[in-house]
Amino acid sequence: MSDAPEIIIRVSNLKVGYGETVILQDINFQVECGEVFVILGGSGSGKSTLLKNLIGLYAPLEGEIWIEGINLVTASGDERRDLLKKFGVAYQSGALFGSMTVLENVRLPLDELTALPDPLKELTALAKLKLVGLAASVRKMPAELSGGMQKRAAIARAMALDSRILFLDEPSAGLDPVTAADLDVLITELAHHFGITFVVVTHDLASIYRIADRVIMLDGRTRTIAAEGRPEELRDKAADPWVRRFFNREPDDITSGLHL
Amino acid sequence: MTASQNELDTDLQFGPAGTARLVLRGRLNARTTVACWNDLEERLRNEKIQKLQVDADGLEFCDGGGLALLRYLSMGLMTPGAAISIQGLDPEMEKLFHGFTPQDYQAMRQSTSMKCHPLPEEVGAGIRQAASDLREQVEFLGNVTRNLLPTVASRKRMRWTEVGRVFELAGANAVPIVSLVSILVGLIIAFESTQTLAKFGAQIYVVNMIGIIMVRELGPLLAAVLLAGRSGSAFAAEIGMMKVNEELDALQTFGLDPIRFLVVQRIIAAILLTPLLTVYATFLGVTGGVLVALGLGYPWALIFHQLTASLRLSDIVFGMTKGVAFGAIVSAVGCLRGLQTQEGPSAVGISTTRAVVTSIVLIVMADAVFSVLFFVFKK
Repeated sequence: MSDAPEIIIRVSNLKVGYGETVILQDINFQVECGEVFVILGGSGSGKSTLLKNLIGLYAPLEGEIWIEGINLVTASGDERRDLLKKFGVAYQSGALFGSMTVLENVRLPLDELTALPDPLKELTALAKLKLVGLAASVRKMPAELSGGMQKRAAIARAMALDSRILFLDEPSAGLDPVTAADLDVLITELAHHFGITFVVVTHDLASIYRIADRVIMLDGRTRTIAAEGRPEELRDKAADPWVRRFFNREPDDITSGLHL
Repeated sequence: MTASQNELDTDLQFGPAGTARLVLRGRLNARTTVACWNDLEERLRNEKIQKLQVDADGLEFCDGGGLALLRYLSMGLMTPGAAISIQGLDPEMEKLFHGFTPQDYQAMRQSTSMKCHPLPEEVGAGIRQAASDLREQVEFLGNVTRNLLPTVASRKRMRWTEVGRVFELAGANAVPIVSLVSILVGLIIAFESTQTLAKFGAQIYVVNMIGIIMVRELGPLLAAVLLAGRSGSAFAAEIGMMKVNEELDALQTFGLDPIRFLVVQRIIAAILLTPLLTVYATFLGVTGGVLVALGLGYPWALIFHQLTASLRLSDIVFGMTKGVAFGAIVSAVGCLRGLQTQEGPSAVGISTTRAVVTSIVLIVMADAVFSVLFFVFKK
């Protein structure tokens, strides 16, 4: 019997963009089950576009996206609906529904996509909220929550259907360093204790060192993956000096910040 | 008895003295949990259970819904008064199961942020809100009045390009919808009226009637209501979004007053464009009535004679004056509601709704005042 890790996401020869405009091309990577996989890149490098292709919001120009053995690009209507239930997404802003309480937000996928009896839906949603540390905020409206709490609630909602994969878009954006670190602890604990696979889009280096098992770094200039590996490896040993500078927070080779 | 559900075996056996033993084997997932729940509900409903032992030794998989079922059973919610024990969960499931306790459930169910206030408190809060709203409106009116003349007098401060932009958006772009609505309203009123007037042999007076109605009342009213729905709401949304995005704060930190920078231009544009829209709406409404009269076979000359005989210059001036007042009301209310926008995702939506509702109410009230004034001055 093989001890090879289970590949839960496989992306092959992916080309993404809008109409005639190609944002990224020749994208190939695999995500192992239970790892925290980070997609990193500078502003405008195509991180969010790639994420939106991975979660099926945009159709890629070319290539394949295999999630749990099903090709999202060519999946039929029913296959695609089933596949969408297998992963959860937490958006950068949280994207909680403002007219619903936190509990109602987390219950929504259970109400709409399962036949569970009402008491079990409520118990499940409450258990998820307890897990992310929002036990005291279940009846609050999203507007009453801090940024960090909104992101926790978004993660609870993304986990409501017991998805094995969670996609997170810029989870630490707009958070203070302490709150961002708290969120990173939650992500690593969910990954390591419950075997949830995380695909995280971010450019927050402090967060990457805390959570990432593996990183791919997108290069907006070449429109492809510049480097792949563990963050410490990329910081110290990346072949591309630009990648090393990025990981070491060094500015580009210019003499002044002013473009005079 | 064994209930087989392909992936899950549910074996429920009743023993002596109100004891029962439930053995679960297989996978407790979203599908099997529902079947298991239905089965247990039906079989436990009429039983007097004193002690229930759940044996989960054979459970290979249990998702969030399955754990919720075990927690529901363990809290005795399906077997009130019974002592429940759940045994044999594997260590991973055990950890998840004990991560959410009955105490957590009770505490989270009771937590609330929405307090119910007694009726007098609600009424008091409503009155206080209304008084505060009135004060804000008076302050806004004062601010606008204070800023209007100095801003208009200063070519630099007035930002006429902004007035032109608003004039185009709220006026020129509104022409198609004003055309359609006005001509249809004219047609409908004339068509419905001719049937009653025919009983008296007075069908030709439909032209007189549509002339007076459109010039004095419906022309200004239609233009103002369409302006409120189309542009008043847009003013509220635009300024509301600027407030949410802290653009108004940025203006104030530059030392620029939002009333002078944003509001005055919109009010001036609305005051200038509403009389034009009013004349246009009136003209097309009357055209609708004329088309009906032509359809009835009356000649052009007679129709023109009836129209000129029934209308006086004062009617036209009166209608246009109303248009100016309605334009000022719609634009001022739209801007005020935009400036009053609160925080939160629904705030801009609330502001636009309030802008349209308040505008229409104030337009109708102002129309009533104008009607009385017209009656008094006519005497």
